[in-house]
Amino acid sequence: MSEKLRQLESLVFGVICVVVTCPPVCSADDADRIAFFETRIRPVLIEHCYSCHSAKAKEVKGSLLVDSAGGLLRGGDSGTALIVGKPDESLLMEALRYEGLEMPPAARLPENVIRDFQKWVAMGAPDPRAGEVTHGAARTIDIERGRKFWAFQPVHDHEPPSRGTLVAANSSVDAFVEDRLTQAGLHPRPPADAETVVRRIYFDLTGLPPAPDELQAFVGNTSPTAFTEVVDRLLQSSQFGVHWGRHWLDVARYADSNGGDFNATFHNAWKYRDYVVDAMNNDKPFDRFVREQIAGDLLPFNSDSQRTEQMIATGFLMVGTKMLSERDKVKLQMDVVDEQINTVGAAFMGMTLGCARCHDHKFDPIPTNDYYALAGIFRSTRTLEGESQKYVSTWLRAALPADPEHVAAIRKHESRLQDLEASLKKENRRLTGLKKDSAVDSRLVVDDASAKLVGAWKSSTLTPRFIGKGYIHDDRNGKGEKSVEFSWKPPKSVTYEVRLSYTSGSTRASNVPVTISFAGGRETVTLDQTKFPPLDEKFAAIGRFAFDAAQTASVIVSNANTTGFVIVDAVQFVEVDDDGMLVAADDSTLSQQSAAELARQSEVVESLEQALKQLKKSAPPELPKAIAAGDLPTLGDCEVCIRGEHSNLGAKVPRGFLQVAATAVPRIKENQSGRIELADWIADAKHPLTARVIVNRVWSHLLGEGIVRSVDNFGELGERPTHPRLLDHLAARFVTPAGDRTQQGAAGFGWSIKSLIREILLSHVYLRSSLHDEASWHTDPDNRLLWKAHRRRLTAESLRDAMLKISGTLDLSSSGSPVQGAGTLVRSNSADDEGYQSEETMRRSLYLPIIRNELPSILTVFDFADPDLVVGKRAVTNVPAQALLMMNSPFVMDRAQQTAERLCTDKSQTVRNLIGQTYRIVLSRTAAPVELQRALAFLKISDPEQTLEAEDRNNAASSSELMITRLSRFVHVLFASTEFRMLN
Amino acid sequence: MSSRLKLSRRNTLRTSAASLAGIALGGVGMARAEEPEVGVPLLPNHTPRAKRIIFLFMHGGPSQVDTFDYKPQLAVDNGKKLPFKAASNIDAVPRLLKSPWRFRQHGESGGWVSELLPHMAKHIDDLCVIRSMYSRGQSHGQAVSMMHTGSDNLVRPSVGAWVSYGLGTENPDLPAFVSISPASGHGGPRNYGCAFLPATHQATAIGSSGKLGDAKIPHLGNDRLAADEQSEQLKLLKAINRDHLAKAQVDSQIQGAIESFELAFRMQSAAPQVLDLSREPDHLQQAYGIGKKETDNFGRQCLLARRLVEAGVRYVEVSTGNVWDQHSNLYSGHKKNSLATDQPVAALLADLKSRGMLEDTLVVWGGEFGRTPIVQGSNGRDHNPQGFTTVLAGGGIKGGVAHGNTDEYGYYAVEDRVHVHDLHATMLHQLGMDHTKLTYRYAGRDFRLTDVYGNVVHSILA
Repeated sequence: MSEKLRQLESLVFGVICVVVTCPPVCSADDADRIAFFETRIRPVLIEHCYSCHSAKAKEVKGSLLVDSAGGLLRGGDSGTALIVGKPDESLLMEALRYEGLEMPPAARLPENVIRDFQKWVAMGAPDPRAGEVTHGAARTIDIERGRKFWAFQPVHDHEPPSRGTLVAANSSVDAFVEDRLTQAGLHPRPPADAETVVRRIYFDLTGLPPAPDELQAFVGNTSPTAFTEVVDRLLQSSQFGVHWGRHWLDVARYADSNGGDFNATFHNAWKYRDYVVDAMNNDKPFDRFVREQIAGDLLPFNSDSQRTEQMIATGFLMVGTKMLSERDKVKLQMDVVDEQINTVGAAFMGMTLGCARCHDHKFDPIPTNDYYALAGIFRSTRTLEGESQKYVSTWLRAALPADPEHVAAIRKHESRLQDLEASLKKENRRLTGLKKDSAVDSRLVVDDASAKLVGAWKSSTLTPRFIGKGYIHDDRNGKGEKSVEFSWKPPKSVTYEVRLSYTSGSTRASNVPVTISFAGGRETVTLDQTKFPPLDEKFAAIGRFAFDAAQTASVIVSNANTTGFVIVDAVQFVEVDDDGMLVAADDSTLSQQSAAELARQSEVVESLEQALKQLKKSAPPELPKAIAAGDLPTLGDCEVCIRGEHSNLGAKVPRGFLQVAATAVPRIKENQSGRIELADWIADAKHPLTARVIVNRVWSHLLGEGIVRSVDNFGELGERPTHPRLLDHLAARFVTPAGDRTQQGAAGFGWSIKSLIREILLSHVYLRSSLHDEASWHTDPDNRLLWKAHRRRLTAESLRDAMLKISGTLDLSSSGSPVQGAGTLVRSNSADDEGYQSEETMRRSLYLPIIRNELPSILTVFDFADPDLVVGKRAVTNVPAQALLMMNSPFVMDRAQQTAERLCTDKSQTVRNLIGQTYRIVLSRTAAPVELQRALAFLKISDPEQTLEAEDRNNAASSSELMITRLSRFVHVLFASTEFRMLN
Repeated sequence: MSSRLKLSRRNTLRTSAASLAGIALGGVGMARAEEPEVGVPLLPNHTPRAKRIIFLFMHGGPSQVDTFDYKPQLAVDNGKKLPFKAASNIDAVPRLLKSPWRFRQHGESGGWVSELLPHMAKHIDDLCVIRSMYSRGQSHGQAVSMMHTGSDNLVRPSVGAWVSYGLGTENPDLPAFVSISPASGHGGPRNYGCAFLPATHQATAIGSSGKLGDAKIPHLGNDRLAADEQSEQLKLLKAINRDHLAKAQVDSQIQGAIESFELAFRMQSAAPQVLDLSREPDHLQQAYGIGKKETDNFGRQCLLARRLVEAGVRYVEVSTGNVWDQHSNLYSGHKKNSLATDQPVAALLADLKSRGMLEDTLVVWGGEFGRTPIVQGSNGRDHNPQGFTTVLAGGGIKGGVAHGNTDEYGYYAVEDRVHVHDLHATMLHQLGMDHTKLTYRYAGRDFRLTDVYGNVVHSILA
């Protein structure tokens, strides 16, 4: 127990003693105080609080009882409700005042009642109900009792029960299963036929169907080792990692974008995805796999590549969805920590730890303190870092070890970039200067920027060809209320032509009043701004007026009586000589010399711009980065957030693990988060949950149901193992080093997933037929004892990938980044955003971009794992959307078409052969005679012995296409069939 | 019937259910008809006052003080410093900004509505204006999630998904929950998703980001095959699947898949008719503003919503897209949005009423939060979850009522405060469900829409 809690307890205990030992009525004074309670306090408590906070309440809320003095003092989930004599420190008062907690919830009590309570607490909270202390609200967790639960018991190997006849020689699994079947008087189904088995193992190990020749080779091979050979070959296939990696990515709630409120792109998450695939292919020992994902950044390394791999592994902690735009960053951090605790708990230990954030776990022996012991570890971990825009957090992009040459190349490139940018800036400045000089004599131009504005004018640069930085317009409103006044000191007392610059257009006003004040007075002319300004494509002349150098002149543009937009950009004054000729012509203010200079300078700037463009193009690749965790510089223990509220802090809890599964208090290095120690604890061979949970996950993928069917929940509310001794036998072997033996003498797997899979696949249980048996069904309708194989669904990925493979279009290459080119956000929050468009790819589904909120529909419709949650077992639904997709989606129809084309290439084959081949390639089996007949009818062909060539000849000109079209519709139907979508 | 068939039938009912990602033939209530589900009460818990809900989501957050929450003091003190503390984490400065719109009292009830919403104002006697809403989440993402799922940070099922789970659909050929033009941002599909509830309860989306577009449901129809070609395929498929089932002898999954195919093709013929707005008479289309530039899009969305609920969909959400977020240009932005939505919303209310459907259809109008009465920039308002307005109509809710109050400037909800959890509790209550009893067990806990919160606002119930 923490120090603070202990103090609190002694305090509360002490106060209760005082209340109890003090006789209820000691003096007249006390009698008054009790009377105050009886008249002012008790009735309010009864009326407003008892319905939720008394022993008689239907459901006691917040574990708080206020029907006794002790109840109030003991408090509830939020801590003690009142501190005698100190109303301002009492939670009760806080709640009544609606500061934080708000009680009673219906409405704030009247001010005078709240004052009564304040007075009552201040006078020492006299309460005659002292003797009525009721119990039962608070529940404490008994860790020792909790350890007795099966899942927290240490794992022990069990001797396989005596062997019966149906026990495979190569696997220890059968004896355990058969034992239970025998006890129940059940007879297992015989092994499935070879075609069914080969389809099963190909899909189970690689997620793909066997090619017809692979099918043929297996079915034709009668050697006793044929099955083992295929299993061993497929375990070595590079596609094994693609399929089994995806199983783990379900658990790791992997995605390529954040989702949530701010769908930011995880540009580097794919490296974690590939790490998982490689780990499966290389059969990375699972304990190592656990350590790297939790603490890879902190682990020692021998090489840069090892360091890189280990850092990338921590992507596991990073790829959860986060409310990045949460403005309360403390809350956001605690939410991220919560997500990590939940994920680590469910993924590795099958524990639902999130429950303990607000209160002790109601079902499992996990007190809130355990949660905050873990929270300290993750709060000391750097996940978020910086902001991508105001209020919006972003995450740590950790630099991976880089080749020194690469770093040098980047440095060199950066410095060249800097130099070039600097000179471009300099030359550009010079160009601007020249342009300004060459532009119209500035003394004779007044820009809108220096005009006096009346009313709201909007600036714009929308239409080009304006003077200065932009122009202004009246937004077509406030007609008659807006005007712009240009003031100008004429350099000479002569006549000037007054010109107005504007951007023309059909939406402009055609009758803009312009008033000129000149030496001779004031005149208003109107200007049609729908017309293109003829002079220099900028100006229109509005008249010639004599000006006096001693007198400030003005030009006022107004929007009175106009309907369209009124545009104001600049006014120009051009001197007129006595003959009426313009002194400064429109475009000749520029001397030839300066014109040449301007052109030269333009060229200089242009070539620099080109060079910069080139340089940027030839940039060396970015330094490698990963979405990876790190430790924070400020780290330490975490306070309990009372009822999960980060603003309501309780005592600090030393960092640690789940007491129920821990043997000793960890020693966490002072300057580290504690993730190494956490990883070591989880990956310990003696941890009661880790091995059981992963062994069960593997079993459930191969057999269709886990030994513990609730694969992510090994707690009280989870299911109990159907074969506990088998689970422990496999778990014990799993953690025993390869070459060593368990207590019972079974060979260890050394944390090897592949060895475990092999052991299960080589059993009779795995090979069993899925056929129904009435008698067994009556005894065990859910097939818990495994008297038959569970008929299983293909995953969404297998369904898509199989269609690609069958149509001959599957691309087995890895994608690298599936979100290359995506911006900070894969999709913005604006109403106009068109959404993320991914390129069509024929790669395996694992490589599709997993954009949260924008998942590919072919995946989601077929129960793809929700990447926001830990999913050890995917849902199995039968929804019409699946039927609609299979029958109407262009993707499916295109694959059927390609399959048909492929099947029809050999024109010399008979139709019988074609149909047989179609069944073999799509359903991995031979067609039955009735199926041949049905296919012939559908294809509208009467003679199966006819060759395709002959069939072509017999029919119309385009018959070859007709055949392909008919066959493609047939294949389409096979794709949609229940048999294709399931593993028998 | 042998127990075997009975079992598989039940599984089929449960698994083949109902949105386009699954039509529930029945929600909890119907599943119970054969066998109670663990952790789920008998539904409905009490006599329902509403059969369905239409949620008109004003995404971005319309300003309460410019629409329904009349604050004369705000105009008096325009430009003055806010005399109390502003909420934290906002960009507005604590200077009061009066509403640029005039307010007037309407109807017999004399409810205040600004000139922004002249059409809705005509229905004031049917509206219950909750002026004391408050929520959690200062940013859109959190507040939108809160309004849709009851959680501002965690992945939870949306209100419609809970309703679908609790009650199922009234029409087996249509989804129980449809979201019209849902936003893709601010959580996107999360806001109409089912999280850990069975996938059948997620919404079917039609259109996106406030735009109805061609109002199609994906894969509901085949452009490449003629009807007779497809029916030939279906015949073959049926034969192949029956073979598979015969070989397996008993398999509820195969049977379920076969039934879902049949269901899919019933939908393929039923749904397009419901989506076809041209079946409505011209005058009604005009009333919704269809054909008029400003109102066409939202008008079509509202009319579609009515057709859907009329056809038996339980929960329809209509979204404007994230358009109400006027950090600047309050005047032009709010004006444009009101113009686009006011007439269609009013037409929907009138239409429902004339069909006698308003009695048992609960209409909810509002944003994820409101806006500050203090100014941001020169002509804008920042987010305000501290106090805002949500409007209810029909479905057993009192009309002509204003419930609760904000402070004198419309900033904080102060009187008869209604949290989003309370709104959710009330919505479920009207549908006959007790929000404390509608639970789903997941990851070791019984989850509720209202988490551990929520109180039905009894005083607004008719």
